[in-house]
Order: sequence, then structure tokens, then C-alpha cells
Amino acid sequence: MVFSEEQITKRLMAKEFAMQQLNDSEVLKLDKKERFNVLWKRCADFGLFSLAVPQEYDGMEEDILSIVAIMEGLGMGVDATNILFSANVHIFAGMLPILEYGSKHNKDSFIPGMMEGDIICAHAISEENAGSDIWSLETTYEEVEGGYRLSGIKNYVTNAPYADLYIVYARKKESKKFRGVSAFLVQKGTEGFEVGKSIDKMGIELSPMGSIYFNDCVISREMMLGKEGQGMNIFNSTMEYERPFLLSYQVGIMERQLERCIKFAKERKQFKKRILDFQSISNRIADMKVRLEASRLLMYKVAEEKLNNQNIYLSSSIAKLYISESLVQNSMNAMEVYGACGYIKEYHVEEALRDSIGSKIYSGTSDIQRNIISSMIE
Amino acid sequence: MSTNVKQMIRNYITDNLANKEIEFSDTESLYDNGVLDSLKILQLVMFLQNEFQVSLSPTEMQIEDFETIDSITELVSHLK
Repeated sequence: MVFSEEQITKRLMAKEFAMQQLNDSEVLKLDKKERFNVLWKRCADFGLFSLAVPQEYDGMEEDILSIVAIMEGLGMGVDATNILFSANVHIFAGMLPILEYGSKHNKDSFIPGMMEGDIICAHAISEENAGSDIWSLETTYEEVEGGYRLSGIKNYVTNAPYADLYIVYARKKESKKFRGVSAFLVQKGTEGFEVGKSIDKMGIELSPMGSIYFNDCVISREMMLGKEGQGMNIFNSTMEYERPFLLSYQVGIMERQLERCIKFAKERKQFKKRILDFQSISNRIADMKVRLEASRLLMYKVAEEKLNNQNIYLSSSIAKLYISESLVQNSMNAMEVYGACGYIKEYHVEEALRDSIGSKIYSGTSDIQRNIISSMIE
Repeated sequence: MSTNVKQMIRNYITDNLANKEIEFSDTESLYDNGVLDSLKILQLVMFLQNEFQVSLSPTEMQIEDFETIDSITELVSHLK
């Protein structure tokens, strides 16, 4: 077993927190924005947003393996994605880049509020013609007196409609491709900056997504994240965390999904026997278990490699591809085990299936992961 | 040693990353001529790590170091 006793205890605590606090039926009755706010604050109070923060900022300074254990525990406790996608984006694509590249001023300004849940972060990279192909960015910046002027549009930005702080990538005006890509921190309410309405999606309903617009938006010099021209590094570093570890809670979700399927298949009877005793059901459950355990091993492997400062370009893509595709397949299998009960909303089985599809798209599609993997082994 | 390293890098790029019809000098930008893009850089990094046993972190990588055959060779020599 890769986890220490302490990490296993933390995973269990996370599971109990999620079962009691995130699945709260009273909260689930609230409208979406209110539900988001209540659950977000509960995550902050639990310490979720302090996990990766150094002790000098009163954080818990947990290593990546412990964070993976805790995220897995959270997934084991929730009925579907719930608030966890937004929370993970906030941590892996928001807090970590600021902790890694931010100036003391950046950290002092934002990390305490992000830990408390008062500042919600979004990571804005995708554009109409740029996503995984980051060199095609069309959002630009230019130096002006006292700072930088941003112009352009970012699409599909998770957390955008509720966020207070945005990490934004832009290319220096008139520079070629990557050469001038820098990252910036932009606060809600900055003049020339607008946030579009929340876009309706297939799943992950509690995580809002939207476009953001920069129309001659001027920000001060200290809001550049890292050094000028360091955007590619920041993006690559962020993706190394986000790509695999955004899925760590999904491993927990797969476990809970499997447990619930087994319970259901034992209780539901057809032709005077448990449906679990039909081989087509038991085989399906066996396949779900195999995918779960393989996903878990891949997640732990990439976390251990990251912990040991190894290069995880290849292993993170392998983990991302396999876990996301396993999640979709297991979610489909859960629907088949549950039958009509899975099709109705009460059991959250259809919700989990809709949520799972997104995992094959965000942080680089399955197609892109296959491109990366094949290019690195050719 | 540097000449050998340079030739190995050139061979790898020519055989694996570049369109066979593109010819390029050691000082020509591999970005401007379309030989490298953001994904191919990662592929090249894997090659450099495996072939020359050098360590390259995404947090420390300077994208300019990969711009020409000469700059890549210099980077490898510096890291070895």
C-alpha cells in the first residue's frame, strides 16, 4: 500500500466530511449559486484550500501524495462531482501557480483569502482558436504606463462566473508565438474586464463555466505572475499538476459508485434471485473493479513520481487518459446495473454519468493525451 | 563531444519531428520554420532526458533554449 497510516486516516476523514457535509440534503435543495457558496465555505472550513499551502502562510503543507489521498477520500463520500471539480481547479490551477511563481506581494494579497474560501480562482487559457495549442493565443498584452493593457477573449473558463481572481495567459502584442506569452492575475471588477454569463453544460452542474472579456483592461505591474515571457513554463507546470491530480477525487467516486452498484445488485431481485447472481451483472461489476484498481495504481504512481521530482509528462498523460476513460465506462456500467433506477435523478447515477463525460475533455482531451503518449514513445 | 551531441539532436529532430522536406541550419529558429510546436517540445525534452541523462523541469525550462539546434546543444552541454 502506497499510503502511510496517517494518510489513510486523512482519506477516511475526508470521506466522512464529504458524506456529512457535501451530500447534505438540505443544502442540495438550495439554488445553484447558494449551494455553491455553502459547500465552498464548508470545503474551506474543512481545510481543503490549505492543504498545499506552506506553513509560513498557516497552511498544512501536505505533500502531493497526501493531497491525492484526501481528494480520493472526498470522492469516496460524494454521490456525484458536487463542488469538487471547482475546488480542485481552485487548488491545482489557481493556488499552486501563485504559490510557485507569485511574488511575495501576490501571495500575501491572495493566498490567505483563497485558503479561507473568500477568493475563488479561475484559470483562463482556452480561446476560440487555442487550448492545448497554447502557441496560438490571440489574447494580447502591451506595456503601458504603470502596468499592462490586456485585450482579448477567453472561453470555457471553469469558475469564471463566480471567481474573484483569474490567472490569464496573453501574448505580447506583435511578438511571435510563444516568445511573449506571460501570465497575469486579474481581479474581478477591474475596469475593462467583463465576465460572461454562466454557460449551461451537460454535467458538472455545480461548477460554473463562462467566457471572460478584456477590452483595454489595464492592470498594475505587480499583477504579472512570474517573470515576463514565463507563461509557457507556468502553463506546463500547472498542467503537470492539473492533468492527473484533478482526477484524484474521481478515483474515489469510482469506488463509491462500485460499492453502491454491488449493494443495489444484491438488493434488487428478478426471477427470484439477486441480479448480482446474473453473470452479465457480476461480470460488469468485475470489470468496474479492475478499472478502479488500475486507475488507483496509475494515480499513486504519478503522485509518487511527482513527489520524487521525476518528470511526469508521459505518466500524467497516461493516468489522465486511462482514469477519465475508465470513469466514463464505469459510470455507463453503473447505469446498466441500476437500469430504470439509474435513469431517474434520485439515485445520482445519471448525474455521475453526465459528469464523467467532461473528464475526457477538460485538461486536454483524450485525443490530445493519445497524441502526447504516442509522440513520447515513438 | 559537443559536435556529437549536436549531430544526435539534429538526427532526432530530422527523423522524428521535422517535415522531411524542411532543411534548416544550426542557427535557424525551429519555431519560425514550424519544426517545433508546444507538443513537440515536450517530445524533444523526453528525448534529451533519456539520451543524455539530463534533468529538465517544466518550472525551469526556458523556451528560448529550444529555439535552434545550437541553443539546444548548448543547453545539453550546460546540464550534463
